[in-house]
Amino acid sequence: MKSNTYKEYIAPVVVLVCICLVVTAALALVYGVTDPIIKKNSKATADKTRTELLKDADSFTEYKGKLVVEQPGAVYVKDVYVANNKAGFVATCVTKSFGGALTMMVGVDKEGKVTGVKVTNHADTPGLGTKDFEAGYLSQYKGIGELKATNVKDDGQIKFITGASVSGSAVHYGVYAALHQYKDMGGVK
Amino acid sequence: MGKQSRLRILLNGLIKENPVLVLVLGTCPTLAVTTSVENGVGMGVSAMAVLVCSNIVISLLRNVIPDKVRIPCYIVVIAGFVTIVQLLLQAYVPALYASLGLFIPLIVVNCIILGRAEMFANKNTIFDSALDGIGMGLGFTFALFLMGSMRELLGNGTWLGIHVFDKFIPGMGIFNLAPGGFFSYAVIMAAVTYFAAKKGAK
Repeated sequence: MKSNTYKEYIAPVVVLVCICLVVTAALALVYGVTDPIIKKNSKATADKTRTELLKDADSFTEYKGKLVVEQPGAVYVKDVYVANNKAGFVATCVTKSFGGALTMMVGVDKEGKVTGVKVTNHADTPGLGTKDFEAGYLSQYKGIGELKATNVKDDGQIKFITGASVSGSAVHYGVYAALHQYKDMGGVK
Repeated sequence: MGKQSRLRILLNGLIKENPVLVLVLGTCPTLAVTTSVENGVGMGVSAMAVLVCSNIVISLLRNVIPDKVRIPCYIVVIAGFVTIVQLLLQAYVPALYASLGLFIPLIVVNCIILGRAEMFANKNTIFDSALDGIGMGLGFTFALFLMGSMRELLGNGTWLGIHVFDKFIPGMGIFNLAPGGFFSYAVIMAAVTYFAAKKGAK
């Protein structure tokens, strides 16, 4: 009877707990090793993207002032890097898309016009929706100084892709937030 | 186990027991990612890598894991594996991660992996389980390749990004959406069943 209790109840729990502990330890170990490298990689990529989006800029300094929050916790400007030669700034915006948070970078020149948009991180399923993240689609925002609405359908300036308007609107809202940031900063100073 | 049956384990997954087209496993990722050939093959190859590793580990632990808690154990092992693979790719092969990164979290919920752990790896030796993983992985990739080809060709008029007829005839957008996924799935599944039945009758 005693061995039965052990086999029936204790052994499964012990084995499951052990497997969980081993897997957790392995994960912690791998995370500890890879996390600094991942952070370094993403910083290098972010710096490269900033230069791509604002070609006239020489180098960047982080903006320490107030950042725009459109919807708390969902749509906001995460950071702003201002070009040292005052050619403009590049804002990193977080918006909500189909698969959750979407991170994108928007370059804005000193006249307040968009110089480029790039989606840097998202969790949408690849396919139709992610067409809105391709360079061809995003280049439509170049030169735009003001968006009329936060939703891509209501704005009318962008030719959006039918059936992929959730991702399209996420991108649109991000650009909207970046331009709002330009207004709040009162230009590039 | 003889050489003959080992080969059979490897080839079983391709057509006769194809995970997607015959066993109807992993339908969700199949329908979701097959809008293009590249996406399909990317998902297939990443799932195959995880499938082989998880089959090996589960086969290794098959005498340790009690029957009652086997499913939670499999899930912990698979999810752990997927996360480790994701972190390693992100740190050391960022270029590959950029193109495959989106598929990796989807692999955790891929029931082919859980299905093969339950149906095969917990009853067979490590080597056979690894072979089963490779075979099933190839079968999954093959099915996604077929679906992706059909949908990309009809939906976009391109194949693997190469322009086929999209310059003359616009693609049928519905093939990029969920209904097109179901259409293609049904047609390909029917064709495979037809050929399998014909071969069986001979």
